[in-house]
Amino acid sequence: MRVLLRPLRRADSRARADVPIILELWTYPDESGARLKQLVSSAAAFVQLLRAPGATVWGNPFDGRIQRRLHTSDPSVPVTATLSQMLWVAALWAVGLLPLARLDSPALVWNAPLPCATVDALLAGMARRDLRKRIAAAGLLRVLSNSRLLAALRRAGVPVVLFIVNSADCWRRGVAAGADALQTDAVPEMAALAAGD
Amino acid sequence: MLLVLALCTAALLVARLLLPPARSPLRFHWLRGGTRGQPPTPLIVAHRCGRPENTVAAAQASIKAGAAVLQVDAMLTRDGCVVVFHDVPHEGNVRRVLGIAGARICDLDASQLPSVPLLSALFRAIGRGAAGCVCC
Repeated sequence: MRVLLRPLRRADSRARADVPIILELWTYPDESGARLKQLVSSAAAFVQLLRAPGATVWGNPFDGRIQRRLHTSDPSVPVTATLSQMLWVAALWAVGLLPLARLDSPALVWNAPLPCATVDALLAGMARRDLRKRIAAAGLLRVLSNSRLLAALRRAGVPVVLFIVNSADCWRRGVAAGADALQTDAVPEMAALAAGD
Repeated sequence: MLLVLALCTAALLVARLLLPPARSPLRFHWLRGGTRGQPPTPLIVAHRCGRPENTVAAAQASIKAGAAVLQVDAMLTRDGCVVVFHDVPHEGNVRRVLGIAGARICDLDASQLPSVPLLSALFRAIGRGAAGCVCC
């Protein structure tokens, strides 16, 4: 990780070509399976064409079909866990069975929301009319980014990525949670914070 | 007691089925380097390429500013092009970002979205482009 990060700070053309990508594919709920398949195969073809499979993570937290197709298209490209996978893992952790699960997989990344201003605002937008949904989602967020769960995942070799960290307070919480990577809209500000750490 | 044990075993089996199998551990070194031992300073991932979201300029600026990883969203247009955009029903980003009311990305052709970069164009802009790639 450090080996890759160091040249990126120089921001030269060679380093830019190395920048890894988390590529999230999205379809609308009513789009056909054929279009979903077309999106997956087109994106996978790009990644192969550009010889970037080793520096790409596939993602879509809400659509297991996309994740399954992506994983099938190239099993060596890791995928972020879907919400259902995360719920299973959290349930296993809660009952103490996480060490028995097959989690030491380079094909899996824990990409979870960190309860912070940006995510809270997104949540409010998602469940504006339903208070019960909002409360349930807020509780869920706290479980998925629980520092003890994240520590257990990291011990199991699962990389942890948290989103969306846009303030100094959120950054500190993400660092304290032990994340391997933090997603942010405010790259210059967070880079300055990281440099000061 | 037996019932609890059976339920736990069933949960474990289902979880094993749901999780992808382990393969090619060396391919993921860039994010896995700090997963054991002392937690390092986290890598900075430019969410939706940074600001303004999902644009070539944002991707370039984010890399220059120190982002170690880009998070990019991809969607399919009506004519089958993969574009860099994020839209889900509750966000209404087509109207908010593009100013097009009552439409979705899947209802529009790439030519109707001049401000939305193709995935291939973004890859080219960050130095990942393949020479002569004209695909959309």
